[in-house]
Amino acid sequence: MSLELSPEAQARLNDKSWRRSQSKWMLWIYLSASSLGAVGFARLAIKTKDEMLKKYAYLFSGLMFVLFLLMGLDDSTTTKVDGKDVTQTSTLGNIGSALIFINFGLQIFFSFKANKIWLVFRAQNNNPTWTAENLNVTDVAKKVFTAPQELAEGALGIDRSDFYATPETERAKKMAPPPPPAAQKKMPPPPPVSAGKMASQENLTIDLNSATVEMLMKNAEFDPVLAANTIVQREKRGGFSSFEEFANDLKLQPHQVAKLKSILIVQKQTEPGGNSGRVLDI
Amino acid sequence: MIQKRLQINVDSDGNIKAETLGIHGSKCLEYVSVLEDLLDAHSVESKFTADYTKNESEIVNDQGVSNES
Amino acid sequence: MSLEIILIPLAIALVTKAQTKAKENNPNASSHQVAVETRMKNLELLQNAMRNIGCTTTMQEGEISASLDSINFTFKKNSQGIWAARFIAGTSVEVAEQIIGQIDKAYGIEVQAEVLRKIKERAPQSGMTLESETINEDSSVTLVLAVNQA
Repeated sequence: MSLELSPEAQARLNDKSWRRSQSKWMLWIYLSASSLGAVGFARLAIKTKDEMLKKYAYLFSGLMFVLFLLMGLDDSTTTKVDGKDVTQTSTLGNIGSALIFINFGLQIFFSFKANKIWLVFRAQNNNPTWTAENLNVTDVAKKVFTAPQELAEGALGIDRSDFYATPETERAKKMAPPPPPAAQKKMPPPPPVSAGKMASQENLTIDLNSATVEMLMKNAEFDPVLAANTIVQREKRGGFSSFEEFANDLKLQPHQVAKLKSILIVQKQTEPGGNSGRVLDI
Repeated sequence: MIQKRLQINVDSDGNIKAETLGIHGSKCLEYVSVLEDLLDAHSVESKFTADYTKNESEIVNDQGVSNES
Repeated sequence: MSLEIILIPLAIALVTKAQTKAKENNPNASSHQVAVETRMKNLELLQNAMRNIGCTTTMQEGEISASLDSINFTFKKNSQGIWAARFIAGTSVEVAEQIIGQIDKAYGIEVQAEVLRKIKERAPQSGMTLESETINEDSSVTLVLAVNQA
């Protein structure tokens, strides 16, 4: 199946340890000798709502039902002959035994196909952790410092400006009157700089622990793969503790280290999933 | 003090290979931007070589030992 | 030595060697043209390279019209700032690639000369002194610069 995968999803799929962690559902099959394999398939089908996985789930649930039915209808008998137990298996019993092996083999075979579908689904729908990465800092600041709606509209008869300084008011107080035109100096033209220096001046500092793929790719050193791998590795670690940790994990070459060290910063992430859910202490 | 050098090889295809000589430890990273500005070029690949792991004090000690012997 | 770096001059686009490839647009049409993508970015070096291999060139509205061995072609910058060549109808892909290959080789030599000139010009300003210059068997040039220590 050919899909347009985002760089982040592709990076997750390329990560062996991530694939291994997502493939643990297959243990339902191997550890239970397929008796609980249908549960694994059903779980995947419910989560992904994928048609193919639903078919697998129905197939193996049906097979398990038939097997239980055969076990119930099996009229094999065990008799003692010359002091030894001799079991006479019926036809149903033989069919049942054969079906158990067939079921096991089929579940192993189809588990790999199902796992492919599952991994692509998980790569594209990786549950984002609640971090500053998906919280726009500017949005938070605006929410905190905006006056409550009722006061803003003057509904309580209170003049908003008595209690809340509007950004415009504050700015007007602080601003000095503009100098008269005659006193204004002509700004000298900026000195010529090399192309390399121009590029580096445009690179603002980026927090490794909160940057998105798009933010990282604003820097020329980050291509889509490196940016996506950075996010994947950050999620794995729960945040980088230092630039050196990031450089080692991503196996940066020396010239990349030299260029990125001055523009990448590492701010400690707060614990996700706290009661208030607040990441930033403004 | 060890003389610091840059060895720059430019082939007829325009490709450039540069090496820092006698520059040890993380100081050599400073020369990435120096070389890019000097050559009007961008780095595409790099690696540390044996001397990176030496620091200045080790070099001085080595020299001291060789002088005494 | 402590660090080895491979650099590509800004005059050369960061592309793979396979970039210099020709493609025909609409090969079934009777008047199909051959276009060749290159790695060349610098106008002056490109013009020098073409002159060195015997091309006649004229510059017109941002395009270079050129001719070599009675084969006419034009160079135009693409959206990435890289010069791309377009040959007149009737030119075969092989001939187009051969001509561009010659220009590309000459361009590489121009870039080499330009890089060496820049090193010698800028080294003193960057606190370095040219110690030696060696021309190697493979036509590459090795310069050794001493960093002036305070």
